[in-house]
Amino acid sequence: MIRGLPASIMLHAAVIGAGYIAWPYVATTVTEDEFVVVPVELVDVGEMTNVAPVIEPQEPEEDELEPEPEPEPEEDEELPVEDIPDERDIPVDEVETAREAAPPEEEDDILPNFEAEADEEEEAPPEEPKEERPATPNPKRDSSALDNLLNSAESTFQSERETRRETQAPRREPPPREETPAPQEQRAGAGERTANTVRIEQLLYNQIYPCWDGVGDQPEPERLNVSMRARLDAEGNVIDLDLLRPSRAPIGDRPMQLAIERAQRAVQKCQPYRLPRDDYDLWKEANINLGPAFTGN
Amino acid sequence: MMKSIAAYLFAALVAVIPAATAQVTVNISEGTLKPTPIAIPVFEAEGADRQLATDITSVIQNDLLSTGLFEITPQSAFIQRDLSINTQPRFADWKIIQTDALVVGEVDRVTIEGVEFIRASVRLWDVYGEEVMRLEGQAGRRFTAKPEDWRRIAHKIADTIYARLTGEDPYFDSRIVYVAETGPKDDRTKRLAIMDSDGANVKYLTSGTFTVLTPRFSPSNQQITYMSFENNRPRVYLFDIQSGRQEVLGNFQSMTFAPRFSRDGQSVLLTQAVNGNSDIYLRDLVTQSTRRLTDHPAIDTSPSMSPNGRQIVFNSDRGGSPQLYVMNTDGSPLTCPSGGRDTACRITFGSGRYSTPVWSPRGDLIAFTKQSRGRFSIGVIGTDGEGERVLTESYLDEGPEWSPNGRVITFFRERAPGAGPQLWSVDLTGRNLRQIPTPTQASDPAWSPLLN
Repeated sequence: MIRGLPASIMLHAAVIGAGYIAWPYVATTVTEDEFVVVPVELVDVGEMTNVAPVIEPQEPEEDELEPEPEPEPEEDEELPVEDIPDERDIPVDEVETAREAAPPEEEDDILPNFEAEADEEEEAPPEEPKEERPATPNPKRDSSALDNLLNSAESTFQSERETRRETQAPRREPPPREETPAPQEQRAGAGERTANTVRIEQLLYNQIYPCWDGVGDQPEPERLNVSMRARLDAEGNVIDLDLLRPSRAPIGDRPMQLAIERAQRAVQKCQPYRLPRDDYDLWKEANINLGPAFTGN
Repeated sequence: MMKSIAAYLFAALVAVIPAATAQVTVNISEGTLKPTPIAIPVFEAEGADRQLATDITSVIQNDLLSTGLFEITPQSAFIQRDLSINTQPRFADWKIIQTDALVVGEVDRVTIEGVEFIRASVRLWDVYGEEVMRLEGQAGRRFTAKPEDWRRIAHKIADTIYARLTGEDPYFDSRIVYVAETGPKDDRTKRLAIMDSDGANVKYLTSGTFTVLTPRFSPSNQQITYMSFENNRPRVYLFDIQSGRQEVLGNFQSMTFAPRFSRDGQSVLLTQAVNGNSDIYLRDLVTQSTRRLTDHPAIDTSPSMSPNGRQIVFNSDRGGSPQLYVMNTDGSPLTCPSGGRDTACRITFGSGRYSTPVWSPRGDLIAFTKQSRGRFSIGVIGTDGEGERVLTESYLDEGPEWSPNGRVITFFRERAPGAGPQLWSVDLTGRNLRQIPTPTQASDPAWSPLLN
């Protein structure tokens, strides 16, 4: 009886633990389902295909490109006749204007439905051998100190990229940073962060850092903070990338839109992440915060 | 007994819970801004238009490369070569060569009512996001122009890509007016010239019979104001690019110089020297009236107006050496950064002589020329005198002017005594210093507004 009590407690704890393990999976599955919808919305298939109707018979090339019977219509619709007088109003010689055709929105939306064909192509594994990139023929530049600095930065980046291409894993030098753990949000009951967690965070930091452009070139960068949650497979590939905060860029907020794009690109670009397989449970899900406010790590 | 239970309990929790709730958090506050890798394959075209497509693609590549913010992926690295503007690219093929963005375009022609136009369509793909990047809300953009304006189509496309990827306003489709210099030093010919922002299409606006200096573009129309020594009388002129018509600005009795348009293009700030004393005036181009803005025995010159028109920065030696001052356009007193109230506030206190201030189109910075220890530099400073940064330095760097988006500064440089001036540009960050090629020696560059 007395010996049975600890065993019972352990059993209960194990059941609770199993619940903890299982629950995030269930939750993530839901997220995954929701997430699948997003690209479809972003690709705007409906909007792209609902272009203006055809006026003339389609050109031969369109048959190749169009998997659907719907022909490419906007080619001929693009320049509304009423726009032409504007074109000619533009003063000749010195300041001739290359103005846009400025068609209505749908007509300018020149993307026909490319989904089916593209998907087929994408399913084929990229079998072509990886082409080694030759030394970049950089344009001639001035030899001033500042420019040399920029050039060296660019060439460093180039060589780093080539190195990475060879190894298929990011191996760029991160800046020196402290090993001290970040003040991070923890789930209730998560207990103390282990040394392994800190090490994984360090490894992730080192691999994401070189891929993120930052927001230092944007106006009011201090507000451009992006929180994401990445779900990783055991190979370190990103399965899902959820945008937590902000959930989307406010309409017309160009800097925030760029900040979100850069943050997402950084996480996508640096995969697969090289992390200890034995600790996969620790890093199968990772919060990734990019922005001037996130000074914790 | 209880201790034993607690120990078991603790062991069980430690064994289970971390695995269940494991989640790491990575915080990164500072990025490493590098040139964005972008692939711009030659635009699709049929038959004779292939050369045109190649040329347009080349101009786009050069525009983006010139910013220092992009790295063009070389064509030899491309894996996918069957691109079409109407199909989605194979993103994996572009990821493997580490390209962030992919530009796909095509060039064709349309004839409307007997007039032939060239037409270029472009789409920008986010390789890692695996989606099209909307350009001004559209999934693609299309530009149409007369064949002779093909370079402008290329600049427009480069502007669209640049704005989308950097968040900056565009500036490639603009022009630069400058003074073209030829001949020996003691018999110099100085002509007004104009060219595209990338140095192409140079045209000369004046014959060179009379020396011209300091041309400045109107921000709102195709007018230039400059100083000319025509008839051996140095005065400020207005020049209309479209008509080629030139006229003296105002009816000033004495020498006028250092002209610059106000931001709305409705008036011109300039300096008039009367009996050796220079003061600043504002000439209204609509009402043809003139107002004197400074009245000081010191030399006040080189005025430049803030984008909102409320203030003016100028150069004055009223404190002993040439320094920059800010005043209200209406002449009312203002509170200076130092605390006191005055009709003009000094904003530069560094060692050296400051001149040719130019207010940024963004409003937050003032570019200047600084002379110190026998060398010249171009720098920027906050409008309150804070945050001075030197961007360039050489034997002679002078005459900064802003690009229409306020991101790039152009100026002229003489590397060594007698080397002759050339045009240069530098990014606001101080990086990407590069020469703008001109057929002759050149000075006093000034940027036009973005063309329509």
